[in-house]
Amino acid sequence: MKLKITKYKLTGMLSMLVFWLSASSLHTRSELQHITLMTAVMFVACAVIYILLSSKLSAAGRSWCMAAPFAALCLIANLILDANCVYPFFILAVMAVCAQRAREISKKESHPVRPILILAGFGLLSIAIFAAALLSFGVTL
Amino acid sequence: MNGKLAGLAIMCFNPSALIKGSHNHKLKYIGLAVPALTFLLYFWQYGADRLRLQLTGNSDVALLCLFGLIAGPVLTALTAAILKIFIRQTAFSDLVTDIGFTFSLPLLINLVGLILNAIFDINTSVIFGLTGVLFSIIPLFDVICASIKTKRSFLTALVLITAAGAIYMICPALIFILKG
Repeated sequence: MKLKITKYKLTGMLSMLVFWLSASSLHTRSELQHITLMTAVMFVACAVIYILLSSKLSAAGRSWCMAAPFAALCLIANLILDANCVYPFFILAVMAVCAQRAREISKKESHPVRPILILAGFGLLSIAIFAAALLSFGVTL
Repeated sequence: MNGKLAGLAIMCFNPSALIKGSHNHKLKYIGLAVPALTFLLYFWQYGADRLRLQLTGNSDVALLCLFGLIAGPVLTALTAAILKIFIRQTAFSDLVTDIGFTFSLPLLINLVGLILNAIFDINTSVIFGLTGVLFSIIPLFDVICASIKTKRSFLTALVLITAAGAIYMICPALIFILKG
């Protein structure tokens, strides 16, 4: 199987990188060991979510583009407004990506209910993984 | 009466219907009431959270609610004015109405947040308030894509919803900072 990296998938990867870095920087004042562990766990969570969602997107992965605005807003909130929160932006990014893919599915397929429900399930799973990773380090949602 | 209600429901769940021409109901400017209520509930939750932390008083919460009531329509009109620069073919009033109705689901999310805030005594201004307000840029993407008929409509819509999201986030933040 040939692994094809498109500009859309790259956008998704960059967005996940933004969410990973933002989530990892939530506890910058704690001990180095804690920060390292949190960074590693968040990296694994983000990588799993990326692979999970990519498996349900189209070959080109155009829907990944919908994550970019929320990644940019996450950066604005954390760097400029000092909001110290990642979770709302991540939820909305996953919802936007899944909604865009669902729109594509409903246009192409004659019986779109099952694939859309599976996609919604994968979206919920992604949000749950991210929330679990954050909560395990005492980050309040 | 039923026709009017049906028209309102269509606009709430599919705000781009007006621009696509599949629905041409006379709902101009009624859409401004939706963001007004959404921001009112968002600011109310923020005030309630601060009240719980004993950082503010009841009068300040009432003032924040008033700011929210004004901020909603103002920010909607501001976003429509910015979009109008890029979307020449759509009338300004249609853009205002469509952008207003993108806040239908956020209104529901904020209402749920306020109810949970009151019943369970938990902070909801971020997880329901901010998330709810920013949720509006997902249907806004559809509205912009329906309005722009060029090859680069997808990319333009992405840039414009990022700008709109930044406006929805920065303006309330400035009010919160000024209010202390």
